[in-house]
Amino acid sequence: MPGSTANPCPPTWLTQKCAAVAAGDATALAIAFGHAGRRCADPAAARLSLVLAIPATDAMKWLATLDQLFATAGLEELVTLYRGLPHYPHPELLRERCAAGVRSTMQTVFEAVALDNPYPAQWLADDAMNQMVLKAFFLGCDPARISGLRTRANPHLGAMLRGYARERQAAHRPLPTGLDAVAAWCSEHRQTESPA
Amino acid sequence: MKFIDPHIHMSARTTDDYEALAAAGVVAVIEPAFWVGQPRTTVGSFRDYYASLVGWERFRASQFGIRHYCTIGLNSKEANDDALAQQVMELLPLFAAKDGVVAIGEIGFDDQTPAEEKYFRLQLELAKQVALPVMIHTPHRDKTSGTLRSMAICLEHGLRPDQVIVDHNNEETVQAVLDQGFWAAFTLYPKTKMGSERMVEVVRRYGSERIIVDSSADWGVSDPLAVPKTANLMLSRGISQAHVEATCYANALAAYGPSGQFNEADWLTPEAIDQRQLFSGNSVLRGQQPLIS
Repeated sequence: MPGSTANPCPPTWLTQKCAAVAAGDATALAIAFGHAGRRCADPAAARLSLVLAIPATDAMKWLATLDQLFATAGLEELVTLYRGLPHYPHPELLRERCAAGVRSTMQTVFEAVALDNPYPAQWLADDAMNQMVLKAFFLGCDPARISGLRTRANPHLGAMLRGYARERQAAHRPLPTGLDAVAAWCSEHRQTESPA
Repeated sequence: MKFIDPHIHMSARTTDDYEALAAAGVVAVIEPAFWVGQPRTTVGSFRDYYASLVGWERFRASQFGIRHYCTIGLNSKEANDDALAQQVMELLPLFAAKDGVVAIGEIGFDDQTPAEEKYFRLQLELAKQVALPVMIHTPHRDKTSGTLRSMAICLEHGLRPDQVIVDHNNEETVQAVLDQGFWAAFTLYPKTKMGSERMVEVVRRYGSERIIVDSSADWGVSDPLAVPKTANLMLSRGISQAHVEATCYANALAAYGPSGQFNEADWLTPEAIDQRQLFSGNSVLRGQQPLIS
């Protein structure tokens, strides 16, 4: 039975598994993806290597494989998979996946998508991006950790943030740190987008 | 005193139960994959159920300072849907390899049909392949013969008795299970089968070696606090603290520890509990004050 302590990832183990995955072996991917937790000192890095080894020439087949990994992932694996979003091929096919991560009730999963992750600002549509930013404020996240936030400021987001600020004030609850600053970016954006 | 409940279906329980478990000293739980009270009709239902055991339920428990582990398996009742069972078997290796999966289970017999035996045997082979212990669900009806048959099949497949936890024992089955060297777990139900009073007498008679107490609390009439309550009853009836610690904590650790996925350090040196990790609009907290340790 496997030992309880993770050893440094044996390079041969990971190399072999990545080669099997690259050859299209779905079972090898499924099991190695799980076992990286006990085989490797840095399971997240090992899991990312495995995902990046999935054949990507047939984009739809690649997406189906990735979707199955997401659908069967454990808590820590989900965090790793979402953190990997900016690194995958076919990023244009992952907008819905990213939005699903934003909807997660597991805060660790939400943060993996929303914080220190360049994918959303680069690829999410405005509506999904706005929901992500508002939810980040709900959860008390530091907006400074939302990559590219200023570039995605828009009038609708500004209205959502001001509405949230009014709700908080009506309930005599403090305003989240940074909300005013982000709302101000949204106003600037409006001025630049629609010059008088 | 701290406790492990090594058989409890938390997916069916409320946050009040999590709070009560934590307050009573339960530090870790094992949630065996089972059925959900009615048969599932598609393989996707199984996939989402297993995913919730390794994902959402683990997160939910962590909000209350409880470490959540699970076992993965196709239960005997649903093994009788042969076409669906075949598809579920293809899913199992994906989940059996996950972090925090401490056994293949709960598997075994319900009506003791040929289909149940077929999938029981296939899953014993899976357990050997992924190097995990096995949790056996013994049948409610024709229990003694089902228990003996389950153990014989495990031995036939080359599993050692110390790799197999036989659950839902009673006074009729315990002797044979212990004699053959298997772990003997007892599910304590408030009304039927084993109750805490009877458990005290079992420990008085057989001692604590390889005996495990659990609640098996689920969506039926059951008591999630059965382990701490029985521990307290044992102590008040003069059972030694060593026996209580063995049956309500240490034996579960010894039985599932060989998975490599069930380590005391997980809860002895935990990350700080931080309920701020919740989305207050759609979460298990819903406006309560975060509890931050």
